[in-house]
Amino acid sequence: MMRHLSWILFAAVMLVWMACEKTTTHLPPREISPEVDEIAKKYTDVLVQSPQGWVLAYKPDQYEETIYFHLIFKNGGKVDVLAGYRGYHTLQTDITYYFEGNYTPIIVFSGENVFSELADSHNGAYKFKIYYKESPGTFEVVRSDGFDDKRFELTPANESNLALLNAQIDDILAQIAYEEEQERLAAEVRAKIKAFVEIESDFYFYNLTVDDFSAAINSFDTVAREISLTYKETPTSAPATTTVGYTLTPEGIVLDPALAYGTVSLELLELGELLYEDPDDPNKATAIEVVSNGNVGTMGYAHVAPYPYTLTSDRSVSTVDWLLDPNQQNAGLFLYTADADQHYSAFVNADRIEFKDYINAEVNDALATNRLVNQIYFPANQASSRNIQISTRNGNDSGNKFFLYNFDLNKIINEASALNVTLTTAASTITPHIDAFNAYLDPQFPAEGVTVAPVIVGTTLRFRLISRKDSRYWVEYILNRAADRSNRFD
Amino acid sequence: MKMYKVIFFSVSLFLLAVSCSKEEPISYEPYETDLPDNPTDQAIYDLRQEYQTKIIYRYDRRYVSTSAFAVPPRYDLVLPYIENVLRKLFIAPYDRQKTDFMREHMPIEMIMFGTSINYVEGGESNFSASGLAYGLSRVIITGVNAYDLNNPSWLRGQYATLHHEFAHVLDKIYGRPTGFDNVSKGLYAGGTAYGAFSQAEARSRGFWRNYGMLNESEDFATWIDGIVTTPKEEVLQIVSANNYLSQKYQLVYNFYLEKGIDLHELQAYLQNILDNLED
Repeated sequence: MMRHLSWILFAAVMLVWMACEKTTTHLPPREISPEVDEIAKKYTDVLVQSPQGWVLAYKPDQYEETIYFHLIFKNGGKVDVLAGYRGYHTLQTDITYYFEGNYTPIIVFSGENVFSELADSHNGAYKFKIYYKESPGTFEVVRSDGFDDKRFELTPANESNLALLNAQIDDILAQIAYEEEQERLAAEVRAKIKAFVEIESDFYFYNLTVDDFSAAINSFDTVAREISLTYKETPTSAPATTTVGYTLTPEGIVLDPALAYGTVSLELLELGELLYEDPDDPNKATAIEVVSNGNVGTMGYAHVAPYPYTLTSDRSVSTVDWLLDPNQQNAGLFLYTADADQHYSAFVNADRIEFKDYINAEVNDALATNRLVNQIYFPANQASSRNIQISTRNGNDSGNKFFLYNFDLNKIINEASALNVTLTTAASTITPHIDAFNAYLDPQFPAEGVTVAPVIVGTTLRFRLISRKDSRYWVEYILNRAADRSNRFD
Repeated sequence: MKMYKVIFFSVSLFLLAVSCSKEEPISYEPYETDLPDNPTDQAIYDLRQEYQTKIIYRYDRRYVSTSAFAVPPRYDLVLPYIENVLRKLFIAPYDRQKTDFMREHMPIEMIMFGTSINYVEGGESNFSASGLAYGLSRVIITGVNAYDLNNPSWLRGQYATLHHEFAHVLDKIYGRPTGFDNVSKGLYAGGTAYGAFSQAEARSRGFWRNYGMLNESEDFATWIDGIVTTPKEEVLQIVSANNYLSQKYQLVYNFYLEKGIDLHELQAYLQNILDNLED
């Protein structure tokens, strides 16, 4: 019984051993004639015995320049390769090489290595016919497939040919460093663009302004990578709306096509720092600094108009020119608002609530609950001062009450539809409350002036006077004469 | 008796002396080949050394039929033709896949003509041959004078012809694949001009194109020029149309594969070279 058990145990062990035996692929032997094999052995000896290894100068068919390779041949069909080719510019050890050929020795660099990579990507070769030149002790190699008959030198490594290889490797390392830096910059640009498009502000205007170029940004589409802009080539030109594509580069935004105005072409917008100009929140970005052709500008929300608004029928006349024209004054022009929120910006409406409370509480015989409006007069008598009148109801709500404040109006030269407003003398009804009136009017008429911007409500023209100091303050005025409401400015 | 001995001895001495006299030696002059003294002949010489083939560009009327006309190649085009067409588009595609393949199969002679070979009379009147193969030894190349690397249709025509004629050479060395001749047996053009058959008709009968209907040899060779000029996916789609086509495709493809040549790989390589050739 013990004897049978031993046999069974032995059979079981054999079965396990056989089951674990791996099947291996037996490749057909390389084709090499005995004569070539003999030569190959001699070549191998020569190759292995060079103490510093060998340097091959080889230019693949579809590669621009000669690549240098440092080859250290070892016994056992292995070679260490350092190449002046990116991706293989660090030492690749134990690459397999062997010889084949029936007529001429052909050295084959087998497996994944720099030569097979060059064969795939640049019509290079990983099999070379190899010829030994005894007198200088160098080899020549030529690709074995007959594609061409260009011979390349394989020479013992020395200081000078290794210097060529090292120079190539230095170039590769520099290129990699450059690309990493470019990638970092590109990421920076992408981050800036992301931050830019995320900016939310209630400033009135959204502009791109660099040097003499100033445009309204209609849209900035980061999906389609397009920017839509409206701009005027000269202050008296009609506005032009254009959509340009853009690409992000490490330097910034490249517009395609470039924007041309006058003799200047706007192609690259380098992105600077985000700008934080919101007076209520210093951490809230409002725009970004841009640089083009060496000129610094901004892109984003702004308090001033991108270009002057001019009369469509006469581009030489801006909104400000038209308002200050004595002809309008002679014709009895005046501007007025209604006691309705839509005539005022949110900031002005907030002031109005406070001012109404003040008037109701502090001003004798005045009731502002249902009437607090602005009226701007351009007296026909040109000796009289232009003025703004704050109008309320009388204290008993029986009629309207007017608080007159004279002011000087002047065009701000070289600024887009900009009007300077200086409050001068106030009527006696205002004098006791001058501080309150000034507090109410100053944000609407700051020292920086106002922009006179056209708006069309239905089919009628109105003017918004927008603070150039803080564009969140604006008031929308109706023109008193119906005929003037048909004018068009843009 | 003594006298006889003296005479015999004297004659023997005389004969010995005569027999030992040396002739004037024939002087040895080693055979020397004139090495090429120009780049064209050097390129031809190199090819001969490497592939045991002779490229002949000098015009010899005897290479074409008496009923045909052809002009010699322009000398200035011979070298670029060798470098860019013969080497890159004919030799390399095979040797890249199988070491020494062309060394062992290259035609012994390749004869260049500037134009195609135009038959104007006789049995093949109005026929224009773009290449010819004579047995396994000689291939005639035509159209060299139209050399233009920027003309893809000329280039494709050239390498299609070269691989077509080379198929004839392999046909002569190895014979066509077993069973190939039987696939379309009875469906060849026979007495009818092959041009009378449409492409669709030829395909329905298992031919790559109607010229293959001429005979079994052309049938085989047209499959080769067809495959090496057509992307693999397109070939597979074409041969899936009927059994004649799929059988012949398998036979032809395997015939080359057994010799170490994947025809689809060869086509892809040719296309890549074609896309990147520069004058």
